Amino acid sequence: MRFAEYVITGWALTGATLAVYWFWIVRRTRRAEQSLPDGEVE
Amino acid sequence: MALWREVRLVAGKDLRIEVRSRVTSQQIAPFGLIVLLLFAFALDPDRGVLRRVAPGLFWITVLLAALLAVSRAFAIEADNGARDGLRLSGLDGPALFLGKGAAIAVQLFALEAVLAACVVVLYGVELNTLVPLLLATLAATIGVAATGTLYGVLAAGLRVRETLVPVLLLPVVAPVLLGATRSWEAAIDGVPSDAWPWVALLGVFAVLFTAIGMLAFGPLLEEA
Amino acid sequence: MDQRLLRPGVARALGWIALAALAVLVIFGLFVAPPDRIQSDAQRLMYLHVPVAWVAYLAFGITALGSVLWLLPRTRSPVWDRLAGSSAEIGVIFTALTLVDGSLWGRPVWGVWWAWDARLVTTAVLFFLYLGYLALRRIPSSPEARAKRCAIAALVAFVDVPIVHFSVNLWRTLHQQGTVFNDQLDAHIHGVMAFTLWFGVFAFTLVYVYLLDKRYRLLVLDEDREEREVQQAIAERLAASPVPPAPPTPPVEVGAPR
Repeated sequence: MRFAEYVITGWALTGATLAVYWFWIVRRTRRAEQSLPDGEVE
Repeated sequence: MALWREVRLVAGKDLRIEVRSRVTSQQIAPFGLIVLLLFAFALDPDRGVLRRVAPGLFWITVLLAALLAVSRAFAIEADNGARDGLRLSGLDGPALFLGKGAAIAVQLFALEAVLAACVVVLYGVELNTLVPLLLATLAATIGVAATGTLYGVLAAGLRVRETLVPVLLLPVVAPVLLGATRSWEAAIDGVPSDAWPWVALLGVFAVLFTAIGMLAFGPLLEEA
Repeated sequence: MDQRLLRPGVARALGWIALAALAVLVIFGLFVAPPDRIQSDAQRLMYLHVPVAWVAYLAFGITALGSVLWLLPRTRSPVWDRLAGSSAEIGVIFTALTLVDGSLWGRPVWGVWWAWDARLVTTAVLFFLYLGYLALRRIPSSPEARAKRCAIAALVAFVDVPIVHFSVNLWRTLHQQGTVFNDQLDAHIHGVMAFTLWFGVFAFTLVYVYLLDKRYRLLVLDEDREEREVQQAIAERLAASPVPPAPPTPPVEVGAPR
Protein backbone atom coordinates (compact mmCIF):
# COMPACT_ATOMS: atom_id res chain seq x y z
CA MET A 1 0.00 0.00 0.00
CA ARG A 2 1.34 3.40 -0.93
CA PHE A 3 1.45 5.95 1.89
CA ALA A 4 0.85 3.06 4.26
CA GLU A 5 2.42 4.94 7.14
CA TYR A 6 -0.21 7.69 6.88
CA VAL A 7 -3.16 5.38 6.31
CA ILE A 8 -2.29 2.96 9.08
CA THR A 9 -1.46 5.76 11.50
CA GLY A 10 -4.79 7.41 10.81
CA TRP A 11 -6.88 4.30 11.24
CA ALA A 12 -4.93 3.08 14.25
CA LEU A 13 -5.05 6.45 15.99
CA THR A 14 -8.76 6.84 15.38
CA GLY A 15 -9.53 3.35 16.60
CA ALA A 16 -7.28 3.68 19.62
CA THR A 17 -8.73 7.05 20.62
CA LEU A 18 -12.28 5.79 20.50
CA ALA A 19 -11.35 2.59 22.34
CA VAL A 20 -9.57 4.51 25.09
CA TYR A 21 -12.48 6.91 25.42
CA TRP A 22 -14.92 4.02 25.64
CA PHE A 23 -12.77 2.34 28.32
CA TRP A 24 -12.59 5.58 30.26
CA ILE A 25 -16.38 5.94 30.29
CA VAL A 26 -16.90 2.31 31.28
CA ARG A 27 -14.36 2.48 34.09
CA ARG A 28 -15.72 5.71 35.54
CA THR A 29 -19.28 4.45 35.23
CA ARG A 30 -18.44 1.31 37.19
CA ARG A 31 -16.73 3.34 39.88
CA ALA A 32 -19.67 5.71 40.10
CA GLU A 33 -22.15 2.82 40.31
CA GLN A 34 -20.14 1.26 43.14
CA SER A 35 -20.33 4.42 45.20
CA LEU A 36 -24.10 4.61 44.94
CA PRO A 37 -26.09 4.12 48.14
CA ASP A 38 -27.49 0.59 48.14
CA GLY A 39 -30.57 -0.13 46.14
CA GLU A 40 -30.17 2.63 43.60
CA VAL A 41 -28.38 0.84 40.78
CA GLU A 42 -30.49 0.94 37.66
CA MET B 1 -37.17 56.69 24.61
CA ALA B 2 -36.72 55.19 28.02
CA LEU B 3 -34.30 52.57 26.73
CA TRP B 4 -31.81 55.15 25.50
CA ARG B 5 -32.01 57.07 28.73
CA GLU B 6 -31.15 53.90 30.64
CA VAL B 7 -28.35 53.06 28.23
CA ARG B 8 -26.87 56.53 28.68
CA LEU B 9 -27.16 56.08 32.43
CA VAL B 10 -25.24 52.82 32.50
CA ALA B 11 -22.66 53.86 29.92
CA GLY B 12 -22.21 57.15 31.69
CA LYS B 13 -21.59 55.39 34.97
CA ASP B 14 -18.92 53.14 33.48
CA LEU B 15 -17.23 55.96 31.63
CA ARG B 16 -17.23 58.19 34.68
CA ILE B 17 -15.55 55.38 36.63
CA GLU B 18 -12.94 55.19 33.90
CA VAL B 19 -12.36 58.94 33.95
CA ARG B 20 -11.78 58.82 37.67
CA SER B 21 -9.75 55.60 37.84
CA ARG B 22 -7.96 56.02 34.51
CA VAL B 23 -7.39 52.29 34.13
CA THR B 24 -7.89 52.28 30.36
CA SER B 25 -5.69 55.28 29.76
CA GLN B 26 -2.93 54.38 32.20
CA GLN B 27 -2.86 50.61 31.97
CA ILE B 28 -4.65 49.23 28.94
CA ALA B 29 -3.37 51.80 26.47
CA PRO B 30 0.28 51.33 27.50
CA PHE B 31 -0.29 47.59 27.21
CA GLY B 32 -1.42 48.09 23.63
CA LEU B 33 1.54 50.28 22.82
CA ILE B 34 3.95 47.78 24.33
CA VAL B 35 2.43 45.00 22.26
CA LEU B 36 2.93 47.05 19.08
CA LEU B 37 6.52 47.60 20.12
CA LEU B 38 7.06 43.91 20.84
CA PHE B 39 5.73 43.00 17.42
CA ALA B 40 8.45 45.17 15.96
CA PHE B 41 11.06 43.38 18.03
CA ALA B 42 9.69 39.99 17.02
CA LEU B 43 9.43 40.68 13.31
CA ASP B 44 12.04 41.81 10.87
CA PRO B 45 12.63 45.53 11.46
CA ASP B 46 12.86 45.80 7.70
CA ARG B 47 10.13 48.37 7.22
CA GLY B 48 8.54 46.52 4.36
CA VAL B 49 7.41 43.56 6.45
CA LEU B 50 5.94 45.59 9.27
CA ARG B 51 4.04 47.87 6.94
CA ARG B 52 2.54 44.93 5.08
CA VAL B 53 1.35 43.13 8.18
CA ALA B 54 0.45 46.31 10.10
CA PRO B 55 -3.33 45.88 9.83
CA GLY B 56 -3.10 42.37 11.30
CA LEU B 57 -0.81 43.47 14.11
CA PHE B 58 -3.04 46.45 14.86
CA TRP B 59 -6.18 44.36 15.14
CA ILE B 60 -4.57 41.62 17.19
CA THR B 61 -3.39 44.29 19.58
CA VAL B 62 -6.91 45.72 19.72
CA LEU B 63 -8.32 42.27 20.49
CA LEU B 64 -5.82 41.69 23.29
CA ALA B 65 -6.58 45.11 24.73
CA ALA B 66 -10.29 44.36 24.45
CA LEU B 67 -9.80 41.32 26.66
CA LEU B 68 -8.44 43.63 29.33
CA ALA B 69 -11.21 46.17 28.80
CA VAL B 70 -13.90 43.51 29.17
CA SER B 71 -12.24 42.12 32.25
CA ARG B 72 -12.09 45.61 33.74
CA ALA B 73 -15.70 46.40 32.85
CA PHE B 74 -16.91 43.52 34.98
CA ALA B 75 -14.29 43.80 37.67
CA ILE B 76 -15.78 47.15 38.65
CA GLU B 77 -19.05 45.38 39.45
CA ALA B 78 -17.38 42.76 41.60
CA ASP B 79 -17.00 44.75 44.83
CA ASN B 80 -19.54 46.06 47.26
CA GLY B 81 -22.38 44.04 45.83
CA ALA B 82 -22.48 46.24 42.78
CA ARG B 83 -23.85 43.36 40.71
CA ASP B 84 -26.72 43.01 43.12
CA GLY B 85 -27.18 46.73 42.73
CA LEU B 86 -27.48 46.31 38.99
CA ARG B 87 -29.98 43.53 39.40
CA LEU B 88 -32.11 45.50 41.82
CA SER B 89 -31.82 48.77 39.92
CA GLY B 90 -34.91 48.11 37.84
CA LEU B 91 -32.92 48.56 34.66
CA ASP B 92 -33.65 45.77 32.25
CA GLY B 93 -31.22 43.45 30.52
CA PRO B 94 -31.06 45.08 27.09
CA ALA B 95 -30.38 48.49 28.54
CA LEU B 96 -27.65 47.16 30.82
CA PHE B 97 -26.09 45.29 27.93
CA LEU B 98 -26.14 48.27 25.58
CA GLY B 99 -24.85 50.57 28.28
CA LYS B 100 -21.91 48.41 29.32
CA GLY B 101 -21.19 47.52 25.72
CA ALA B 102 -21.23 51.14 24.66
CA ALA B 103 -18.81 52.09 27.41
CA ILE B 104 -16.43 49.34 26.32
CA ALA B 105 -16.80 50.41 22.69
CA VAL B 106 -16.04 54.05 23.50
CA GLN B 107 -12.90 53.06 25.36
CA LEU B 108 -11.86 50.82 22.48
CA PHE B 109 -12.38 53.64 19.98
CA ALA B 110 -10.13 55.91 22.00
CA LEU B 111 -7.56 53.14 22.22
CA GLU B 112 -7.75 52.47 18.50
CA ALA B 113 -7.12 56.12 17.71
CA VAL B 114 -3.94 56.05 19.77
CA LEU B 115 -2.80 52.71 18.37
CA ALA B 116 -3.50 53.82 14.80
CA ALA B 117 -1.33 56.86 15.31
CA CYS B 118 1.44 54.58 16.58
CA VAL B 119 1.08 52.24 13.66
CA VAL B 120 1.47 55.20 11.30
CA VAL B 121 4.59 56.36 13.10
CA LEU B 122 6.26 53.07 14.03
CA TYR B 123 5.39 50.91 11.06
CA GLY B 124 5.35 53.58 8.39
CA VAL B 125 1.77 52.98 7.36
CA GLU B 126 -0.27 55.56 5.48
CA LEU B 127 -3.97 55.56 6.32
CA ASN B 128 -5.48 56.03 2.89
CA THR B 129 -9.15 55.93 1.92
CA LEU B 130 -10.54 56.77 5.33
CA VAL B 131 -14.21 55.96 4.70
CA PRO B 132 -14.00 52.18 4.39
CA LEU B 133 -11.32 52.20 7.07
CA LEU B 134 -13.49 54.05 9.57
CA LEU B 135 -16.64 52.09 8.79
CA ALA B 136 -14.79 48.81 9.17
CA THR B 137 -13.33 49.99 12.46
CA LEU B 138 -16.75 51.10 13.71
CA ALA B 139 -18.43 47.79 12.88
CA ALA B 140 -15.53 45.68 14.13
CA THR B 141 -15.33 47.53 17.43
CA ILE B 142 -19.05 47.24 18.03
CA GLY B 143 -18.86 43.52 17.26
CA VAL B 144 -16.00 42.98 19.67
CA ALA B 145 -17.57 45.11 22.39
CA ALA B 146 -20.91 43.31 22.09
CA THR B 147 -19.40 39.83 22.18
CA GLY B 148 -17.04 40.85 24.96
CA THR B 149 -19.91 42.19 27.07
CA LEU B 150 -21.83 38.99 26.52
CA TYR B 151 -19.01 36.74 27.66
CA GLY B 152 -18.08 39.19 30.36
CA VAL B 153 -21.44 38.86 32.06
CA LEU B 154 -21.48 35.13 31.45
CA ALA B 155 -18.26 34.75 33.40
CA ALA B 156 -18.96 37.61 35.81
CA GLY B 157 -19.35 35.73 39.07
CA LEU B 158 -16.77 33.06 38.37
CA ARG B 159 -13.37 32.86 39.98
CA VAL B 160 -11.77 31.68 36.75
CA ARG B 161 -13.22 34.68 34.91
CA GLU B 162 -9.89 36.11 33.78
CA THR B 163 -8.61 32.97 32.12
CA LEU B 164 -12.01 31.88 30.86
CA VAL B 165 -13.11 34.96 28.93
CA PRO B 166 -10.17 34.91 26.49
CA VAL B 167 -10.75 31.23 25.69
CA LEU B 168 -14.42 31.88 25.04
CA LEU B 169 -14.16 35.21 23.27
CA LEU B 170 -11.26 34.89 20.87
CA PRO B 171 -12.51 31.99 18.73
CA VAL B 172 -15.90 33.66 18.36
CA VAL B 173 -14.48 36.98 17.15
CA ALA B 174 -12.16 35.35 14.61
CA PRO B 175 -14.38 36.57 11.73
CA VAL B 176 -14.06 40.12 13.06
CA LEU B 177 -10.28 39.88 12.99
CA LEU B 178 -10.47 38.53 9.48
CA GLY B 179 -12.88 41.21 8.25
CA ALA B 180 -11.18 44.13 9.96
CA THR B 181 -7.72 43.14 8.76
CA ARG B 182 -8.80 42.55 5.18
CA SER B 183 -10.74 45.86 5.07
CA TRP B 184 -7.72 47.76 6.33
CA GLU B 185 -5.44 46.03 3.85
CA ALA B 186 -7.80 46.83 1.00
CA ALA B 187 -8.19 50.45 2.06
CA ILE B 188 -4.51 51.08 2.73
CA ASP B 189 -2.58 49.02 0.26
CA GLY B 190 -5.01 47.41 -2.14
CA VAL B 191 -8.17 48.16 -4.02
CA PRO B 192 -10.44 50.09 -1.61
CA SER B 193 -13.62 48.70 -3.12
CA ASP B 194 -12.45 45.23 -2.01
CA ALA B 195 -13.11 46.37 1.54
CA TRP B 196 -16.87 46.59 1.18
CA PRO B 197 -17.75 42.87 1.41
CA TRP B 198 -15.73 42.77 4.61
CA VAL B 199 -17.37 45.87 6.00
CA ALA B 200 -20.73 44.23 5.31
CA LEU B 201 -19.64 41.07 7.12
CA LEU B 202 -18.47 43.13 10.09
CA GLY B 203 -21.79 44.94 10.12
CA VAL B 204 -23.76 41.72 10.15
CA PHE B 205 -21.63 40.38 12.97
CA ALA B 206 -22.08 43.55 14.99
CA VAL B 207 -25.85 43.58 14.58
CA LEU B 208 -26.23 39.87 15.26
CA PHE B 209 -24.17 39.79 18.42
CA THR B 210 -25.70 43.00 19.73
CA ALA B 211 -29.11 41.36 19.34
CA ILE B 212 -27.95 38.17 21.04
CA GLY B 213 -26.37 40.16 23.83
CA MET B 214 -29.53 42.15 24.45
CA LEU B 215 -31.49 38.92 24.84
CA ALA B 216 -28.98 37.03 26.94
CA PHE B 217 -27.60 39.68 29.29
CA GLY B 218 -30.54 39.74 31.71
CA PRO B 219 -30.78 35.97 32.21
CA LEU B 220 -27.01 35.69 32.58
CA LEU B 221 -26.86 38.52 35.11
CA GLU B 222 -29.34 36.65 37.27
CA GLU B 223 -26.89 33.80 37.72
CA ALA B 224 -23.77 35.89 38.14
CA MET C 1 -36.42 6.72 33.17
CA ASP C 2 -34.20 9.78 32.91
CA GLN C 3 -31.02 7.95 33.86
CA ARG C 4 -30.37 6.87 30.31
CA LEU C 5 -31.20 7.79 26.75
CA LEU C 6 -31.69 4.21 25.57
CA ARG C 7 -32.99 1.10 27.26
CA PRO C 8 -30.11 -1.09 28.49
CA GLY C 9 -30.90 -3.90 26.06
CA VAL C 10 -31.08 -1.51 23.14
CA ALA C 11 -27.82 0.15 24.17
CA ARG C 12 -25.98 -3.14 24.37
CA ALA C 13 -27.28 -4.30 21.01
CA LEU C 14 -26.33 -0.98 19.51
CA GLY C 15 -22.81 -1.37 20.86
CA TRP C 16 -22.35 -4.70 19.14
CA ILE C 17 -23.88 -3.49 15.88
CA ALA C 18 -21.63 -0.42 15.92
CA LEU C 19 -18.59 -2.58 16.49
CA ALA C 20 -19.58 -4.89 13.66
CA ALA C 21 -20.17 -1.92 11.38
CA LEU C 22 -16.71 -0.58 12.20
CA ALA C 23 -15.21 -3.97 11.39
CA VAL C 24 -16.98 -3.99 8.03
CA LEU C 25 -15.73 -0.44 7.42
CA VAL C 26 -12.15 -1.49 8.13
CA ILE C 27 -12.45 -4.32 5.63
CA PHE C 28 -13.96 -2.14 2.96
CA GLY C 29 -11.87 0.93 3.65
CA LEU C 30 -8.50 -0.76 3.88
CA PHE C 31 -8.94 -3.70 1.51
CA VAL C 32 -12.03 -3.90 -0.66
CA ALA C 33 -12.20 -0.31 -1.92
CA PRO C 34 -9.70 0.28 -4.72
CA PRO C 35 -6.98 2.92 -4.51
CA ASP C 36 -7.85 6.25 -6.09
CA ARG C 37 -6.57 7.18 -9.54
CA ILE C 38 -4.91 10.36 -8.26
CA GLN C 39 -4.51 9.94 -4.52
CA SER C 40 -3.64 6.25 -4.51
CA ASP C 41 -4.06 4.62 -1.11
CA ALA C 42 -4.16 7.95 0.70
CA GLN C 43 -7.80 7.98 -0.35
CA ARG C 44 -8.44 5.42 2.39
CA LEU C 45 -8.15 8.15 4.98
CA MET C 46 -11.13 9.86 3.45
CA TYR C 47 -13.27 6.94 4.63
CA LEU C 48 -12.33 8.03 8.14
CA HIS C 49 -12.00 11.77 7.87
CA VAL C 50 -15.38 12.49 6.31
CA PRO C 51 -17.49 10.33 8.66
CA VAL C 52 -15.61 11.58 11.69
CA ALA C 53 -16.10 15.19 10.56
CA TRP C 54 -19.80 14.51 10.08
CA VAL C 55 -20.08 13.23 13.65
CA ALA C 56 -18.14 16.22 14.97
CA TYR C 57 -20.69 18.58 13.45
CA LEU C 58 -23.65 16.34 14.32
CA ALA C 59 -22.56 16.32 17.95
CA PHE C 60 -22.30 20.09 17.85
CA GLY C 61 -25.80 20.32 16.45
CA ILE C 62 -27.14 18.07 19.19
CA THR C 63 -25.42 20.22 21.81
CA ALA C 64 -27.05 23.29 20.31
CA LEU C 65 -30.43 21.56 20.11
CA GLY C 66 -30.20 20.45 23.74
CA SER C 67 -29.27 23.99 24.69
CA VAL C 68 -32.27 25.49 22.90
CA LEU C 69 -34.67 22.97 24.42
CA TRP C 70 -33.29 23.68 27.86
CA LEU C 71 -33.58 27.45 27.44
CA LEU C 72 -37.21 27.37 26.28
CA PRO C 73 -39.35 27.45 29.43
CA ARG C 74 -41.90 25.04 28.02
CA THR C 75 -39.36 22.29 27.35
CA ARG C 76 -36.86 23.00 30.13
CA SER C 77 -35.62 19.80 31.69
CA PRO C 78 -32.26 18.55 32.99
CA VAL C 79 -32.36 15.91 30.23
CA TRP C 80 -31.56 18.53 27.58
CA ASP C 81 -28.72 20.06 29.53
CA ARG C 82 -27.20 16.64 30.09
CA LEU C 83 -27.65 15.74 26.46
CA ALA C 84 -25.87 18.91 25.45
CA GLY C 85 -23.00 18.23 27.84
CA SER C 86 -22.53 14.59 26.82
CA SER C 87 -22.66 15.40 23.15
CA ALA C 88 -20.08 18.15 23.55
CA GLU C 89 -17.46 15.88 25.02
CA ILE C 90 -17.89 13.32 22.25
CA GLY C 91 -17.89 16.17 19.77
CA VAL C 92 -14.56 17.58 20.88
CA ILE C 93 -12.95 14.16 20.52
CA PHE C 94 -14.35 13.70 17.05
CA THR C 95 -13.30 17.22 16.09
CA ALA C 96 -9.75 16.44 17.19
CA LEU C 97 -9.86 13.22 15.17
CA THR C 98 -11.16 15.16 12.17
CA LEU C 99 -8.22 17.51 12.32
CA VAL C 100 -5.65 14.73 12.79
CA ASP C 101 -7.10 12.45 10.11
CA GLY C 102 -7.42 15.40 7.78
CA SER C 103 -3.81 16.32 8.38
CA LEU C 104 -2.64 12.74 7.77
CA TRP C 105 -4.67 12.70 4.57
CA GLY C 106 -3.45 16.07 3.43
CA ARG C 107 0.24 15.38 3.81
CA PRO C 108 0.58 12.70 1.12
CA VAL C 109 -2.05 14.28 -1.14
CA TRP C 110 -1.14 17.99 -0.96
CA GLY C 111 2.35 17.75 0.47
CA VAL C 112 1.42 19.88 3.48
CA TRP C 113 0.16 19.04 6.97
CA TRP C 114 -2.30 21.91 6.93
CA ALA C 115 -4.10 24.18 4.49
CA TRP C 116 -5.94 27.41 5.13
CA ASP C 117 -9.21 26.50 3.50
CA ALA C 118 -12.67 27.19 4.90
CA ARG C 119 -13.52 23.66 6.00
CA LEU C 120 -10.30 23.00 7.86
CA VAL C 121 -10.16 26.40 9.53
CA THR C 122 -13.81 26.22 10.59
CA THR C 123 -13.17 22.80 12.10
CA ALA C 124 -10.20 24.19 14.00
CA VAL C 125 -12.33 27.04 15.34
CA LEU C 126 -15.04 24.52 16.22
CA PHE C 127 -12.48 22.65 18.28
CA PHE C 128 -11.74 25.74 20.33
CA LEU C 129 -15.41 26.58 20.71
CA TYR C 130 -15.94 23.08 22.11
CA LEU C 131 -13.02 23.47 24.50
CA GLY C 132 -14.49 26.69 25.83
CA TYR C 133 -17.86 25.06 26.33
CA LEU C 134 -16.32 22.12 28.18
CA ALA C 135 -14.32 24.52 30.36
CA LEU C 136 -17.59 26.21 31.27
CA ARG C 137 -19.18 22.90 32.16
CA ARG C 138 -16.43 22.09 34.62
CA ILE C 139 -17.06 25.14 36.77
CA PRO C 140 -18.87 24.09 39.93
CA SER C 141 -22.22 25.86 40.24
CA SER C 142 -25.84 25.13 40.86
CA PRO C 143 -27.14 22.97 38.00
CA GLU C 144 -29.49 25.76 36.92
CA ALA C 145 -26.79 28.39 36.68
CA ARG C 146 -24.35 26.13 34.90
CA ALA C 147 -26.98 24.90 32.46
CA LYS C 148 -28.00 28.44 31.60
CA ARG C 149 -24.42 29.62 31.08
CA CYS C 150 -23.50 26.63 28.97
CA ALA C 151 -26.68 26.74 26.92
CA ILE C 152 -26.15 30.37 25.95
CA ALA C 153 -22.47 29.77 25.22
CA ALA C 154 -23.38 26.79 23.02
CA LEU C 155 -25.91 28.81 21.04
CA VAL C 156 -23.53 31.71 20.54
CA ALA C 157 -20.95 29.24 19.25
CA PHE C 158 -23.54 27.60 17.01
CA VAL C 159 -24.41 30.94 15.44
CA ASP C 160 -20.75 31.78 15.03
CA VAL C 161 -19.68 28.67 13.10
CA PRO C 162 -21.42 29.51 9.80
CA ILE C 163 -20.08 33.05 10.06
CA VAL C 164 -16.56 31.71 10.49
CA HIS C 165 -17.00 29.39 7.53
CA PHE C 166 -18.39 32.15 5.35
CA SER C 167 -15.67 34.61 6.25
CA VAL C 168 -12.82 32.14 5.70
CA ASN C 169 -14.39 31.09 2.41
CA LEU C 170 -14.61 34.73 1.32
CA TRP C 171 -11.02 35.22 2.37
CA ARG C 172 -9.63 32.25 0.51
CA THR C 173 -11.67 32.65 -2.67
CA LEU C 174 -10.72 36.31 -2.89
CA HIS C 175 -7.14 35.19 -2.68
CA GLN C 176 -7.74 32.24 -5.01
CA GLN C 177 -5.93 29.71 -2.91
CA GLY C 178 -8.71 27.33 -2.08
CA THR C 179 -9.49 25.69 -5.39
CA VAL C 180 -6.75 23.06 -5.57
CA PHE C 181 -7.52 21.71 -2.14
CA ASN C 182 -11.25 21.71 -2.68
CA ASP C 183 -10.82 19.80 -5.91
CA GLN C 184 -9.08 17.01 -4.07
CA LEU C 185 -11.55 16.97 -1.22
CA ASP C 186 -14.53 16.79 -3.56
CA ALA C 187 -13.09 13.93 -5.56
CA HIS C 188 -15.83 12.34 -7.62
CA ILE C 189 -16.22 8.85 -6.32
CA HIS C 190 -18.52 6.06 -7.40
CA GLY C 191 -19.26 2.44 -6.82
CA VAL C 192 -17.48 0.70 -3.98
CA MET C 193 -15.79 3.88 -2.91
CA ALA C 194 -19.06 5.74 -2.56
CA PHE C 195 -20.58 2.84 -0.66
CA THR C 196 -17.62 2.69 1.70
CA LEU C 197 -17.87 6.40 2.37
CA TRP C 198 -21.59 6.31 3.16
CA PHE C 199 -21.19 3.14 5.19
CA GLY C 200 -18.50 4.93 7.16
CA VAL C 201 -20.92 7.76 7.91
CA PHE C 202 -23.49 5.18 9.03
CA ALA C 203 -21.03 3.25 11.19
CA PHE C 204 -19.68 6.29 12.97
CA THR C 205 -23.16 7.65 13.57
CA LEU C 206 -23.96 4.40 15.37
CA VAL C 207 -20.76 4.80 17.39
CA TYR C 208 -21.80 8.35 18.28
CA VAL C 209 -25.26 7.36 19.50
CA TYR C 210 -23.83 4.48 21.51
CA LEU C 211 -21.18 6.66 23.15
CA LEU C 212 -23.74 9.40 23.75
CA ASP C 213 -25.94 7.06 25.73
CA LYS C 214 -23.01 5.82 27.79
CA ARG C 215 -21.68 9.31 28.44
CA TYR C 216 -25.14 10.54 29.38
CA ARG C 217 -25.50 7.79 31.96
CA LEU C 218 -22.09 8.66 33.42
CA LEU C 219 -23.05 12.34 33.56
CA VAL C 220 -26.22 11.53 35.48
CA LEU C 221 -24.27 9.39 37.95
CA ASP C 222 -21.66 12.12 38.42
CA GLU C 223 -24.24 14.85 38.93
CA ASP C 224 -26.16 12.72 41.43
CA ARG C 225 -22.95 12.05 43.30
CA GLU C 226 -22.13 15.77 43.40
CA GLU C 227 -25.58 16.49 44.74
CA ARG C 228 -25.18 13.83 47.42
CA GLU C 229 -21.78 15.26 48.39
CA VAL C 230 -23.25 18.74 48.70
CA GLN C 231 -26.09 17.44 50.89
CA GLN C 232 -23.60 15.53 52.98
CA ALA C 233 -21.41 18.58 53.44
CA ILE C 234 -24.42 20.60 54.53
CA ALA C 235 -25.45 17.87 56.99
CA GLU C 236 -21.93 17.71 58.42
CA ARG C 237 -21.80 21.46 58.82
CA LEU C 238 -25.09 21.46 60.68
CA ALA C 239 -23.98 18.61 62.93
CA ALA C 240 -20.68 20.31 63.78
CA SER C 241 -22.24 23.57 64.92
CA PRO C 242 -25.67 22.65 66.23
CA VAL C 243 -28.40 25.25 66.32
CA PRO C 244 -28.17 26.83 69.82
CA PRO C 245 -31.11 26.00 72.12
CA ALA C 246 -33.84 28.63 72.26
CA PRO C 247 -33.39 31.19 75.08
CA PRO C 248 -35.58 30.47 78.13
CA THR C 249 -39.03 32.00 77.68
CA PRO C 250 -40.28 34.32 80.41
CA PRO C 251 -42.74 32.63 82.81
CA VAL C 252 -46.20 32.61 81.34
CA GLU C 253 -48.78 34.38 83.36
CA VAL C 254 -51.35 31.96 84.56
CA GLY C 255 -54.91 32.95 84.34
CA ALA C 256 -56.17 35.03 87.24
CA PRO C 257 -57.17 32.80 90.12
CA ARG C 258 -60.85 32.36 90.30
